[in-house]
Amino acid sequence: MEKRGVPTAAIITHVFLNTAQAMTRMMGVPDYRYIVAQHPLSSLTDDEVKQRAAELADEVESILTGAPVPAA
Amino acid sequence: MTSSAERHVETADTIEAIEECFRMGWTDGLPVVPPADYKVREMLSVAGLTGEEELLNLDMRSRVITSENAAANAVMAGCQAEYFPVLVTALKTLEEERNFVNMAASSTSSPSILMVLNGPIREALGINSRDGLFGPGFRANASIGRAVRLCFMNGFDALPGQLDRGTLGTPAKYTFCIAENEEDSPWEPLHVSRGFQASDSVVTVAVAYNPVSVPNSYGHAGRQILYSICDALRSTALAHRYPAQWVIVIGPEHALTLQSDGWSRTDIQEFLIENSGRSRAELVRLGSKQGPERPGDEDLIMRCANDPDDILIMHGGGTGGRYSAIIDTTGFRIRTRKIGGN
Repeated sequence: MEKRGVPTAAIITHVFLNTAQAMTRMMGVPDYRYIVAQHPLSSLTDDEVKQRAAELADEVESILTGAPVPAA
Repeated sequence: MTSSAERHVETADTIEAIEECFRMGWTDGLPVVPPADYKVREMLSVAGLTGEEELLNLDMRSRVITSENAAANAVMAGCQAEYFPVLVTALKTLEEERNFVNMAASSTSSPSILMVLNGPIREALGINSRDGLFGPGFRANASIGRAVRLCFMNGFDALPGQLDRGTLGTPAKYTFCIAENEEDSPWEPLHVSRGFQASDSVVTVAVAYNPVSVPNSYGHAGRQILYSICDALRSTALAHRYPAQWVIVIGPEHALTLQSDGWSRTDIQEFLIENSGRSRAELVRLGSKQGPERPGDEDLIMRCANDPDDILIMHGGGTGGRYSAIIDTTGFRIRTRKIGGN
């Protein structure tokens, strides 16, 4: 997506960190920024998902705009 | 995949060369045949390839499997040169829908690559279609399937716990290559049902999960056997992949019963779709589908397949026991391709 010019914020869960690192190395972009959320996501309730999304929103915005993450 | 520097390693003897392959990380855990250059050339020569051709490009991993890479992995897997065109055709078929190739190299659900051979090539290469269909004992079945996995592991770094995040893995990742027993089948061969000539040698390729055995020893009627298969369909992965494509392997003794009761391939396909449904409400309660339960979910019946042709019926296995098997697949459209064709 980024290669096609679409600003992208990738989110992984923490158990996939080593896989994400291997993938970005393989793709030649080892410094590629992504967000690491706590695992798991799929078993959360709708309300818990919304809460998790709210917690990550600033970081998503920061990656999309290149701005620093606001202080909490 | 491998650099030329890695290609020319001097070793004291063959045993040491095998150990060197372990040290290079080129194996699936079992010893491999060291990929001596002359063996790689022999493979390429049988398929009429130069070594330069790109067979499978996985751009999301910035990796390409060339014909030379494939040949080296085929040698390591224990293939005879005559098997190589099957591997080439399978890899080119996977190239048609790369996202699902990535799935077979990474997904937590742990799919493998199923290959089903039809036509004269079964006899020519000695690909087993009878007793012990999915098991060991046949060089072609064992090594052709193994070659695909070695291509994934060595070509795409599909290593467990790293880029391959299969939670449980599957023995089908060692090898998953079978042939149809066409000669004893009550139905026309699988590839003929998919538009090929009986005299064509073809491979059917699926990104698929492990086979689930369906025992039915005491049913005297075809309908009982089919209800057993429906029961297995309903419980496979808790219908998580409904609707999907399926490969149903009907064992010879089940096939005889179905034949004497007059079941055609189409009859079977339609019966399985009609009788293996599950309500969405039930799947939500089990946690197989995402909740919450919505009004109408009790009457919303999920079907195993949308179209009868999404259920591939084939005949295989040995006599003596009354077993069939079902194989569920990912979203990769199962494809049948002529071996050596484009």
